[in-house]
Parts: sequence; structure tokens; C-alpha cells
Amino acid sequence: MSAGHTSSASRRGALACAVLMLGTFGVAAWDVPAARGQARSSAGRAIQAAAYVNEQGQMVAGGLLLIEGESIAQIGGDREASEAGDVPVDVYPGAVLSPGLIDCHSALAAAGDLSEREHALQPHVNARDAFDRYSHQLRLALVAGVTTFALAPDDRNLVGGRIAICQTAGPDGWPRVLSDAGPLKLSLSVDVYRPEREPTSRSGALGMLREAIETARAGVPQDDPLTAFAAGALPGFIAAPSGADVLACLQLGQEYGVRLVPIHTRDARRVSELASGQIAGVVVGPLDFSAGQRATEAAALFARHGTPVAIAGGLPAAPADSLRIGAALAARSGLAPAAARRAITAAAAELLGVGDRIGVLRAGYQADVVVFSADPLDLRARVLAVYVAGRRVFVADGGPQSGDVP
Amino acid sequence: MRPVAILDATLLIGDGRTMERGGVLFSDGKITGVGENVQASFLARKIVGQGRFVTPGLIDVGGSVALRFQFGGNAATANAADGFDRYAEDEIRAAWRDGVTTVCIPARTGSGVGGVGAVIRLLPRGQVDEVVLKREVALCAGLGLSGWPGPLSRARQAEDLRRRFHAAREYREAQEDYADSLKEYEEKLAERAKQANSGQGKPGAGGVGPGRGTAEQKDEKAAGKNEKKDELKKPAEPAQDRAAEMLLRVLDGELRLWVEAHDPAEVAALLDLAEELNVALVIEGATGAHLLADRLAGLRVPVVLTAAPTPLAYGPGPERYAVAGDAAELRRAGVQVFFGSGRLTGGAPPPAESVSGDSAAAPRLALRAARAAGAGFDADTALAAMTGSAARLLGVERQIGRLEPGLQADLVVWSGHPLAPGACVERVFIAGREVYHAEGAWPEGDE
Repeated sequence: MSAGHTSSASRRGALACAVLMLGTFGVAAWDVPAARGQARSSAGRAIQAAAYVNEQGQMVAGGLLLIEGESIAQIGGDREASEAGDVPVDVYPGAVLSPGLIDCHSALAAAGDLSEREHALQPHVNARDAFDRYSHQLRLALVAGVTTFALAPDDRNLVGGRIAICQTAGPDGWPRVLSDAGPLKLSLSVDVYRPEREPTSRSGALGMLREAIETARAGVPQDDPLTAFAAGALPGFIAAPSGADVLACLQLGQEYGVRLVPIHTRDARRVSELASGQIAGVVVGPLDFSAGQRATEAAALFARHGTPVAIAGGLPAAPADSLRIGAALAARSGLAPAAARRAITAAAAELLGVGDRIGVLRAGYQADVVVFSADPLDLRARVLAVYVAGRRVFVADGGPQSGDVP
Repeated sequence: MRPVAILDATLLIGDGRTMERGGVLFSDGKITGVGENVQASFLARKIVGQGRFVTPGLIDVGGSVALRFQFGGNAATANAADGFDRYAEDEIRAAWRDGVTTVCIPARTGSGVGGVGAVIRLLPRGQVDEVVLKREVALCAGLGLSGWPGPLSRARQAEDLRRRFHAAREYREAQEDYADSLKEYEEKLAERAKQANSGQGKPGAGGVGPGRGTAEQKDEKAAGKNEKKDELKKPAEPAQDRAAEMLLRVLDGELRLWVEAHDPAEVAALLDLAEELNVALVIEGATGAHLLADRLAGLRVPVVLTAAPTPLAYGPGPERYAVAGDAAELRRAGVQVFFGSGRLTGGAPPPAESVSGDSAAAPRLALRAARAAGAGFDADTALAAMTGSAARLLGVERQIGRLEPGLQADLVVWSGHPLAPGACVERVFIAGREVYHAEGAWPEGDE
């Protein structure tokens, strides 16, 4: 008990230092994880706001959310209509509840580099091993509303390894790996071509990839990620910035039945129609304020042709709110607001293979909730509070002081 | 030109005020009427503004739209207006789509002094006098943007900048010394000619009183001695240094000093420099400047917030100081805050693909301001910082920046509040001419 108390106090100090050093604004208070086993969240609690983002990404009125343990017990309606009589209620007048934001490709909290330089094929690598749960970057992402991120091998290897799905907080208040069985990371970006090793060209890269797939298919079935990928059992996130790269993904899918999700795609002009029905989805972004029209409208074009779209945030090289900036840019370039909200929540969860646990506000799902002062797509909206696995892990200045806040 | 009337729109005047259901009239390139009860003449082309917002054309304070040159570290005499490509229509169009009609383009440089920044109106293929709204805004410099990043190179670059100003002062002293000795030389030359002439006439012909006469005689004696010593040598003229003269204009308070820096340590060094030299400073980029908000406010140094250059790797680049709340924090301390799009292409001449077609980078000023508002910056102040206040900072407030009769008809019709999600630019007018009209925009209501 006393050990738990000490650790939470020192953690509070460490966080305070990190935040002071970084000059983070607006962080007035945050919940320090109480001693383990004492979490109030297990007893059930309720959050009351004015509206919430539903499973389709629309903002609808009636933001009552009941939490039972780590999960959502009920969403929608208002307080009177619910049975939330005797549980503590955090009330946020006028606020909007959103699922926790999900960055589906990031290097957040990576200890060092996320690629091996020697060989272009690194299927056995798992990004989970690079996760630094004590990184100060995690707190910055959390207070911006990012509850989940895919820690992904970078774009420099043809096959970079396994993506790990991590959270900026967990049931005990600490960041954690939610799943180390994420998609395989591949890349067709120009970063793959390196003078010191193969491949050095685009045709070389595709040749190597085909060879790797064919070798995996011909060999004895093994329990390794490349075999699973080649058999179409494991999806692959493949960096495909240009339209030609997306086209190559479509061809590989047709030839070998591999399940590829193009990511970092910045051009949809000619391929968005061809991609329709061929891929599970596409990840555009990261989009920042200097992104051109072609990049910002890619999301809208893919969505128009029926391809689910997620938007990556590019943490930590980009600012912590870059997910929302990306969604706002895509919305200004024609992506429907509901699709833009889903692009940084539900669509990202589905493409990462965790769409049955997180990404939407639905009964039975993990209670990852961000309380915004307005529409999450409106950059004027502030993050008022963040809940992960039912626990309130951040509350902004002026938020309700009920619940876990000491 | 046929007059234009935009009626029944919400007017965001540009000085922080809002007028619900107002109208704007303009003809011959200038705004002729603004108000709730403006009367459009029957000849005027009428645009229904219902549900629409009208703002003055946004001013990108510190952009690089269609900037084609990277200025060297010694080119104090270069002018950014000469680096503006009037024919880069794709980039200009991308700026319009974001509601930007005017850009202050600093003479960007990696380090040292890059030249003089200019205010450019985004009128493609326009005449130079139409396009260049103000040719000399400030002398521009960069700190810590090139070379190996680190405290030592940073300290050296700040010191180099300081030395350049001191060298400019020395240059002025040398020039003044030269002017003095030239004057002396010319006087002596004149005297000698006089002596040669007075060989025939009386000496001291110019003297009036006895006292004056003796003084002149003494001077003549002294001069005679000197003549023997140096044979009346013409003083050597020091080389002219136009760059130093530019720096002197800053020291004399004629021009501002505009420095791009992305590190609080650099901002602090600049504030020291501004205090020491007593120059008017503007800091652009200013990543991490919120850590020095009180000092900036005390010295009345305006700050133009632009994004920090993206670090190449995941290492701790200048972005570690970048926080969404910097604008609000600076404002709370009393600092004047402006928004700019910064180096859209990272400073180097942009690759062909990023400036052609729809890949052209856009300033995204309104979204930058919305983001600042989300972190606590007042939304009306943010709008003024992109319009009226920006024009005042740049010294063009008599021409642009507000919806006011007499000012240039540079204005933008938005589908919603400029800071709201999903708001689009529907029409852009520059000098009363409609230069941009989005597809599917509200139809005209010509009666």
C-alpha cells in the first residue's frame, strides 16, 4: 500500500517535470493512478455530456455514457431515462463525447529507431519491443485525446515487422500494449531504396516482395508473420504514397490474395475508383497545414468510391493534435464530417484489427472516451477530459471535480 | 467595371467586430459601402450572402507563396518581391482557396541576413505596382536554421548577427571620417588655389576684422606645415557597402528587423540583441517563444507564429517546443500574435511536383487560427490578427485589412464561419475583381 503510494507520488513529480520542461499549455490537473486495486472505475460511473459521436460518426444528442468496470455499459439517452441513480456522474455541460482517438501509424514512445538497416526484410521484428511506456510523449498525446496508437516499424524496410497497438493509458493508469498482433508493416515508399543494400530501385523492391511472398507460400507452413501474410491470413499495412504505389498494392492483392492496406497515401486522383471494393481500407496522412490539395482530398476521393478511410497522425514528429488537424483538413477538402470523425476512431480500429474492442461508443466496448467542448472536427474544440478503460486519466482546467480527482 | 454588392451576409469587419446581416458594396476596385442598410444600385451585380460570411482577404504574415529564391546569408540588399513568381498560378490559387489574398514574404535565409521582405498581393500576372503592396517591410534574418544544430552554432550565429550590426556602425564611422577628411581636403585645396591666385593680390582678402585675420593666418601656417608633410593627399574613399547601409536603416529605426528562429534560446538571444541595439524586432516562427512571453510583452516585440521545420528523424527537433497553446499564452501576457504559413516547402526551392497542379501547398491560415482558438486564443482577436491587425503591423492598413469604405476591395466569401469545420471559400475578390469562384458555390441572385 505504501509502495503504491510512493510510486504514484514520484510519477506525479516526473510528469510535472516533463510537462514543465515542455511548456505544455492547459494541463491543469490530471488524475494520478490511485493505488492498484482501489480504482473507483470498477464500481461504475457515468459521464453526462450534451451529445456524442455515434457508430456512424454522426454527432447525436443525448450524451449519457455508463461505465461498468473497463467497459461501456450503456450509451445515449439522458440521465433521467437511465438507471444511473447511484453511481458518480461526471457532468460536462454542452460537451461532446467521442471515442478515444486512434493514430493508426505512429512512432510514439519508440525507444530509438524503428527499422533495422541491414536487411530489407524484417518480418520477425515486433514494434512492441521498441515501446517505451515511460516516454513523456505519451502524456502529450493523451491530453490531446489520443488514447490508442499503432506503433509501427518505419517506411525504410520492404517488410518492416509487426505493428503493435498501444495505449497512452491503461486500466491501471499506465500506458500499455493493447495487442502485439497488429498487421504486418511493409513499404513501397522511396525510403526503401538504400544505396548500401537491396533494394535500390522500385522494380527491385517489387521483385523482392514477390519473391518473399512466393517463397513463403511454397515453403512448409510456418507460424511466422510473413507466411501468415502471404497466405492472406494477416493483413499488411504498406506505405504507398503515390497513386502508382496504390496500384501496385491492388495488383499484389489480385495476384496473391494478400490483404494490403495502403498507408501514407497522398494521391487518389486516378486510383480511388480502381481501389473500390479491392482493399479493406486506406490510410491517408499524416496531413499537416502545409499539405497540398491533392493530399488533403485523397480521403474524400477514396471515401466517395466506397473505400473506408483512416487518417494517420504521424506522432511524435507531428504535434499531438495532428490527428484532428488531419481530419479537419480532409473535411475541408470534401470528406463528409461523419467519415472524418470515423477516420480517426472507428475506421482506424477496424483496419488495425481491434475494431471489436475499441473505436466506437458501444455497450461492451472498452470505455475509451474523449470529452470535447464541441465537435471533435472543430479545431476550436478543447479536450475537457479523457477516459481510458473506464478510468479518467485527464481532466482539463475547469472540468468537473467529481470522480477520481484527488 | 460594374459595381458589386454582397448582401445579407455576416460581415467580419477585420478589427474584431462582427456585423450580422450586412452588405458590402464595391466598385472600381474599392469598397464603397459597408453596413446593415447599404443600398445597391440597380446596375450592381448582386450576390446573395445568406448564411455566408464575408471577411477581408486574409493576410499571411510570413508566408512563402510562390517564393522562388532562397536568399544567401549576405544579401542584405536583396528584396523578396524580386523572388515572387507572379506566374505561379497554381500556388496562388491554392492560397485563394484558403481565403488568402495578401502575403508578407520575408527574404528567407538559413542564417545571417537574407534581405528585405515585401508585402505581395496575390494577383497573378498583375502589374508590379499592383502586386507589390509594400516593397520594404523589414530586414530579414534567420537564426539556427542552417548548419549543424546545437547550442554552439546557435550562439555563433547570434553573435555573427550582432557583429554585422556593429560592423555597420563602424562602416558609418569610417564613412563619416572620410566625409570629414574629404571636406578638410577640399578646403585645403580651395585655400591653395586661393594662395596661388593671391600671389598677385593681397593676402587675407576675405578677412573682415583684425581678429579673424590673425586666426586665418595661423591656419594658413598650420596648413602650410601639413602640406609639406603629406603633399595634400586626397583621402582614400572606403568601399561602399550597401548591405551595411541596409543594416544602418534598421539601427536608425527606418526598418524593422525580422528574424526567423525556432528555439526559445534563440528568441532570448534576439531579445538581448534588440535591447542592446535598440532596434524594432519581429520574431517569426517563434517556436517556444511562449516560454519568454513576459519579456516579449515588455519589449513590445510582435510574434508571427509559423510551424517549426519538421525534424528529419524522431529526434528532439525544435518541434519539442511546439505547443498548440503558444498563441494563447503569448496573448495572455500581452504579446501581439500573428499567423503565418512559414516555409511551405522547407526553405529550399520547392520540387516541381509540390508547386504544380493541386499539389501546391496552401497557407491554411484559418485552420491555424482555429487551432489557436481551441487552445484558448480569442477567436475575434485571431480573425483580426489575419486581417486588420496584420495590415497595421505591415504598414498597409490604409489599403487593406478591413471592410471599410475607401479600402481596397480584397475580400472573401466563406460558406460558414472561417474558423468552423467544413467552412469553404466560395469567392475571392481582389481589387474588386472576382479571381476565384468555387464550383457549386451559392448562385448569384441577380434580380
